[in-house]
Amino acid sequence: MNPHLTTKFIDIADVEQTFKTPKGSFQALRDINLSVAKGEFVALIGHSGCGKSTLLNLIAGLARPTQGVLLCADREIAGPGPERAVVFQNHSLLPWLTCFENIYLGVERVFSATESRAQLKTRTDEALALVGLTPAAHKRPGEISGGMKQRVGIARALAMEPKVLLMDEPFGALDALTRARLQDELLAIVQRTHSTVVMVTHDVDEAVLLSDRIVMMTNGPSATIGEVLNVKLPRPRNRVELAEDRSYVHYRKAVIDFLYTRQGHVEKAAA
Amino acid sequence: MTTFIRALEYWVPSSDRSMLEFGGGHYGAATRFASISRELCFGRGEGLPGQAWEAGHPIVLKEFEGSYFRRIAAARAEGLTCGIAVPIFAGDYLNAVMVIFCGDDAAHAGAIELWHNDPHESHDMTLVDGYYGNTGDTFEFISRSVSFRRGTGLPGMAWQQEAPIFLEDLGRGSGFLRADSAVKVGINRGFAMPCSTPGDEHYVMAFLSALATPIAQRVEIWKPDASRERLVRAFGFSESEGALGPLAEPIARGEGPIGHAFATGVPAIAEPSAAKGAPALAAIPVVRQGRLTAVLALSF
Repeated sequence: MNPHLTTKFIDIADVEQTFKTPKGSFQALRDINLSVAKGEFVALIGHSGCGKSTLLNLIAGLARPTQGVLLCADREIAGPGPERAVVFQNHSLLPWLTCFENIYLGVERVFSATESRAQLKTRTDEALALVGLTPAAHKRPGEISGGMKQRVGIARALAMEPKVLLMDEPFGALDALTRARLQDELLAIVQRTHSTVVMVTHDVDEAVLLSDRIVMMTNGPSATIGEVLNVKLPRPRNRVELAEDRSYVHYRKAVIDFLYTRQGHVEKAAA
Repeated sequence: MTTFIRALEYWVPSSDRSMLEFGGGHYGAATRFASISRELCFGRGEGLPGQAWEAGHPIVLKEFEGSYFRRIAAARAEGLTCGIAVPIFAGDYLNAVMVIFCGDDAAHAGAIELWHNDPHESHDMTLVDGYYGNTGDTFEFISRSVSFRRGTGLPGMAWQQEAPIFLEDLGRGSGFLRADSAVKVGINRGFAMPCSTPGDEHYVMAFLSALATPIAQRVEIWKPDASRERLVRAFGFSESEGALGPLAEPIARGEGPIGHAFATGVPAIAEPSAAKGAPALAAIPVVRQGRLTAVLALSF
């Protein structure tokens, strides 16, 4: 774990999530216990339907658990809040606003009570610069690429200075090259800001490249945390150098083993 | 066929509980080591058994040379290079300390791992230490990086079930996370045993061995029936016969070495009998929070 990862920041205790469906109750998650340190980058990985996004939504406060408790900075998560910004796979930008205005909207919501309009504008400009989008500040979402839209989404989230950045497959809809570039940008941003990040992903390489810990979830229904892999690769990380790094290869293989060797046989393993 | 476990002994507290005295042992071909061991006793903190007593949890001693181990020369002469001391507590009361010995010559491929969970600190079971012999560093690297939740992976399953778990084939689909890495270095059998400690921390010993050097010739797990007066065989595997059926006769409390371990919470060892055609057998009680959950029987 990195030296700055010292304080328990998100604490998830005995969480269970059950949904009511026309066919009866559906237990999506059970026995979820997880702590995330301040400044830690945690990836949630597992097959479709394992409840990764459900867990992220619980941390975001977009849903309440049917059992258990979630804390952020020692306060119970009772709903959405600006201290927990979410970046979705779908960038969720307002199409009639420019990139600048989309970010400014979020900044204004959080800081308008304490800061002047000039300060809000500066914050927005800095966020755009952080993701390299200053030249596109006055373009609307329809005028920029999918990768740029996602960068606006990340900039909007970061501009609100959240305590936690929650990302739900943020690069899942992008082509491989754009995804790689945005992963590198995210690595650099997190390195600079020491953000606490929880990211849902299907991508093994993405999880190993970005994370301090990879939380591997068992198959649903009644999914839970199976194993946790500590990724002790030094930062800053360089994807080209890591491709031949033996530790990287071992970590990658351990996640693949979990996903493709073990998770076809969860019931047998538990028997 | 040689086994991965080369020798096994246990030590019991003296009547005044000031020392650990020799309780019994199976040493196979290590006869000189056996002779020396029978004459020894250990104070709290002395030697490997005394260290485990003092620490209150299992200890893996990967290297005898230069350590507190007291039988270094004899162990070296017999090719014993690693020792694992496992205290058996019933609550706060030490019943015995069991010591298992392995060697790391080319014919004895395998690994031993000690996993730990402190429920006050974490929900994960993480590696405390491991002895990986000549299995290479890939397997060790993964073991040191991964942590298990209760019920998943070999250590996690033993932790959840509070009883020994034996996986006869660690290949794909076995429930063993590190399957590919294990198979590549020749490891194909996995065995994990929860250890008893005086507190509420959890320790699991995992043994991983290769086909040519199985953990033991025969592994059986006996569990108390509902009356807790008899043991029934919950699992059995023989290297020569394969899976053993569940139809074994139940064992009464105090009957034979397995029943003795059940009755006393102290290991029991039966020497091989040529007349009966019986191999050496070690019966090891598995105790959790003062309650016996199983007796592990290993035949050599």
